[in-house]
Amino acid sequence: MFEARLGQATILKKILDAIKDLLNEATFDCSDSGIQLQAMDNSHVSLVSLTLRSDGFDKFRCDRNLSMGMNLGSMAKILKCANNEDNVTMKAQDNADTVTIMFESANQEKVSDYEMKLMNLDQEHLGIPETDFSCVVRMPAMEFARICRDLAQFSESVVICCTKEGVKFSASGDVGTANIKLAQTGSVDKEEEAVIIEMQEPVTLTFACRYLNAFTKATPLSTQVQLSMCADVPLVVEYAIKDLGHIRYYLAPKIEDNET
Amino acid sequence: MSLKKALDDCMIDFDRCVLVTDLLEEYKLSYKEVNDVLEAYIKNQEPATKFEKRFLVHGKKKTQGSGAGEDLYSVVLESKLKDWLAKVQDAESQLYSVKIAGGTKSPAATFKPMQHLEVKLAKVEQRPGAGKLVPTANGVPATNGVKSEPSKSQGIKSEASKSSVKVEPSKSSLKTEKDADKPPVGKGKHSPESKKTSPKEQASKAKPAAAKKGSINSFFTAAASKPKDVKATPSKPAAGTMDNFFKKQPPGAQKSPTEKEKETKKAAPAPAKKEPSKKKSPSPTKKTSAANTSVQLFDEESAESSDEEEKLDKLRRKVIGSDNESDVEKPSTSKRRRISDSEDEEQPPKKATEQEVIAVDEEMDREPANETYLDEDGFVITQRKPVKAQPAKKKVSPKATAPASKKKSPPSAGKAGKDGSKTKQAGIMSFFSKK
Repeated sequence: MFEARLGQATILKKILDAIKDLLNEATFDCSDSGIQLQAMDNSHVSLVSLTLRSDGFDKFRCDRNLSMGMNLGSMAKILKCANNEDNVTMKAQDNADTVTIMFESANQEKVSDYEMKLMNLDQEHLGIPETDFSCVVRMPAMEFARICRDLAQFSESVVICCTKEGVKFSASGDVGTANIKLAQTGSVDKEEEAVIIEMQEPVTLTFACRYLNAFTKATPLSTQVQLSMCADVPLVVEYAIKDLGHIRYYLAPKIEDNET
Repeated sequence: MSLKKALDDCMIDFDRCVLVTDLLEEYKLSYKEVNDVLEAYIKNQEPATKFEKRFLVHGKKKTQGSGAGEDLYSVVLESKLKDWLAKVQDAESQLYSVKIAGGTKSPAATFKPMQHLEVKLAKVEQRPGAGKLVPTANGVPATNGVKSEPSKSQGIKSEASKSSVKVEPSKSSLKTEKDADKPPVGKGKHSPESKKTSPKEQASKAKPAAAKKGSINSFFTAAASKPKDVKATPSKPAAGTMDNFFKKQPPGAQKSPTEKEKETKKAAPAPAKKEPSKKKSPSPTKKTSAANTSVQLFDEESAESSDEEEKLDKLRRKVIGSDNESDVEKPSTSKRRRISDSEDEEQPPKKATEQEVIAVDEEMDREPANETYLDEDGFVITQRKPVKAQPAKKKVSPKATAPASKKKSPPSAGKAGKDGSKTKQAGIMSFFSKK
């Protein structure tokens, strides 16, 4: 038996919004430690890793490890039926082929439940090695979203250059070039507005804009985003989900095309 | 839906001017059928509602001198029909449009020729410039100058295009109007169908092409599953797989292109080298492409085996030594070509071979039709096959292929090229290992 209850459906809604653009289907691996999801996008350029800790749920019970393959579009549809303040409960029997998602209004006057068919997804799980990143940038998630959106107008690729001076996002295309530099903030009143750079060595990497923009769909989940970079290693874009876990996106860099 | 049903269901708004031409197009009926149905409907309605009918009058203008005057077509109100019929010689009339008489109406087209009706005209000559009048946009003929409601006409157009209507409302003014819009060529079988479908086809063809170029998806699958792809060949034995990456990448030492070349030369047989070399050396090919095919004859063989290469090299030396005439002087006219290689003279032969190999590879692709052999005197003869178009085409190709190949290389890199940097999208699988 699996049962997980969240106080606010809005969190689950946001999570779904954050991944459904990249993934059509995914397997939620439930265990007593929580729920985990790992999946690559169709083109195998990016990887989404979602971790929801069991202690972040209002109620969490997972008797046996359970993998629930879901169509994320369908799940998003169901979640749209919930009010933001509703309690949401996910339930599934062991070896069941359906999951029940139940919404309860705050005053318990309205209870709605939706049953969704589960899928058998043959998805590869990748081992993600521990990496000492050369640069870790923490910045406002909104700012990052804005930058990605703006630069996407100039080019399909964004060059992220991180030095001790700061982090620079650049794009150049037919329109022209765009450079956005963010310096490390000295002292900020609000923690969420801070730009913090931890740098071992400078890094310059090129990434596809469209993926970055897909990642920024997770912006509502967190005020801050963390970009971890290292030469010839995928970028890690991490959004923390307060008290619940995190969502990490891995994006393969664009590499030098030696053969041209 | 049949016209009768549409009429019975009041689907046709007679507050607006209902044109028979529209009905013809929409319901794909013959004029007679439409006319009959419409007349019957009007008859039924007539006592209750009054209709204003317009008729198309066709006849010949009465001229004073000669008996046979000019053809005349006119759309006239029912009330004036008799006058017109009297006025015009050989007059005939047909119902053209109907609307409810009186009241306020939104303006409607009182005249609209058929958009896609194939008609055969008995005695009408094509205007010579008529075809030119049809402006086409994306292969779809634009409207013919008669103003019509865009939405409505579009709907009709698309419907009409789906099935070719072959109605022949004999000798009506529609014909002449329509005919003027038709391109002269397409009278018989040039149905609107073909015009309509072709852009769709084009679009559908263009779309995958664009997708191929733009989406990383296509690149990635190409890299993973199609080793024949130009990019995926030698320097990255399995660029798509993680393991390789981790074995090779972390050491960080990205080998220089020359090193790679050497490696691949050692490891891979010549044909495998072919494609990358093509890309790496646009400049040498340009040098050799125009007239210097003779050099590449040697190179071609030299690429095949080192022994042969040596032999040929010697032979080449010999030939060059025997004759210092420059090849440039009569490259195009002479059937026989003597070997001279300007690069050879500048560079030690063995160094040159590398470049030559590259050149040969490309040349091999370009001019497979040429026959080459050693003649009795020891000259290498390049005999161009009579098909001249081929070499001509292929000579153009190096210019064209160079940018084209760059664009093709990886679909993502093509666009990255725009950004000034030559990058291609790596797959995430290359960085993580499967559990």
